Amino acid sequence: MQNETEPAPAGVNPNNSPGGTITGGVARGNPNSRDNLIPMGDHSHFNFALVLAWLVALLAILAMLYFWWLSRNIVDVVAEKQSKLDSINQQIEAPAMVKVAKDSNDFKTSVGILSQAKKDRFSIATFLPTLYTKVTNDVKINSLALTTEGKLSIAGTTKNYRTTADLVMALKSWGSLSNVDLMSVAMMADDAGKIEANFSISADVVKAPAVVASSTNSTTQSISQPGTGGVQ
Amino acid sequence: MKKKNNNSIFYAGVTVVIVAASFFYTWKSIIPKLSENKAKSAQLDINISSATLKLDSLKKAQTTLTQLGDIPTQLSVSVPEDKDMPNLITELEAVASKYKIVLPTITVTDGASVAAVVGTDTPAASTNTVIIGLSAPGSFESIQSFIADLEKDIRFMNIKSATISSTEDEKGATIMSLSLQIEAYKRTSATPVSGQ
Repeated sequence: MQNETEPAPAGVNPNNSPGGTITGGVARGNPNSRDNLIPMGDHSHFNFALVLAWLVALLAILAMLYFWWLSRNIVDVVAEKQSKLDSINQQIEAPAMVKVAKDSNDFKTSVGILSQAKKDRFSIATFLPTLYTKVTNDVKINSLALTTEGKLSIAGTTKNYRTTADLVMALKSWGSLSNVDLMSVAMMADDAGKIEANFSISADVVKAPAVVASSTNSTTQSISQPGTGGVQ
Repeated sequence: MKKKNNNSIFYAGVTVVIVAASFFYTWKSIIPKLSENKAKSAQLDINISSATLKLDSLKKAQTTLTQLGDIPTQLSVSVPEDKDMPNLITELEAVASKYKIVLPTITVTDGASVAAVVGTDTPAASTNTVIIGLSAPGSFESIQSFIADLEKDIRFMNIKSATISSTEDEKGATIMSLSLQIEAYKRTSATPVSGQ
């Protein structure tokens, strides 16, 4: 390796570099200056590495700045969205909307309850008159019990067994009843000594559309004002 | 040459430090905040969407309620918020008096309290019902009309059971007696009320 302080002779490559760099001799006008004697091959190699390093550094900084910008941007977006949400919530919590929500819920609840109740309804007012058309004049009904589960029980008196049997046959032939059963029948004397047939009949009501309730009539009745006192 | 090498090392070191600092700051500070804000933004999107739906639904409900006119009010009478005893009793009495029926007894029980009783024989009793029991003497026609009017009443009532019996008085006249178990409805499922 040639000493850097010694000027290389003209036309000699001091480093014997493969590039075959031509070096000059002693600088004109300033024979003592050594700076311009730096080998050109070394200089170009150093510059490339440095530029590359700085490029990497620049890229790193740019990437950081990009993420920082993204972060700042999304903070603004979040603030904007939060503001929008607050605005919507404010509208929802306004007294008018709170009332609408309550009314709407009440309406929905009422409709739900009524539709279920209507499904369960069995109109006794519709059923009774039809039942009585099946009962002949010589039958006296002492008691009639009917439940929405569709259980019917009738107790009464007739003139004789035959009339009781006719009643049972009439009820059996009616499509609105099933399982018509004569539970008991007995000839007994009443208080006046008159002999009568006391009977007891049970049946299941078929909840056909003909005997199932009609809807409420909301126009015929009005609700009275409160304050009439409590009957328990 | 040595000086230049030192410079190169220095610049390389500075570059490494800058890159490392940038990476570290980005990784440890910017990226977590970015992720956090992205998650917050996504959550806000969901919340905004949900709130917008709710608001739209409320606006639609407001329009529908306006279009329905008096129906919501009538429904609130059919199924009041609570059992509304005074109006219920007054209503029953008004219907009965229309057919000259006197109601000697009326019992009103909260369905919730009935349902709370263990071993009760009232399976239909639920928390939003009001169970009414009443008895009434009258002619067959008046009893029948009374039942028909109860079923048409604006306060929705289901007659759960009816018993009609007839007896004869000393003069031999037939007296009919009606016993009804009625279910009315209310919106709230109140806690059981004792003593009703």
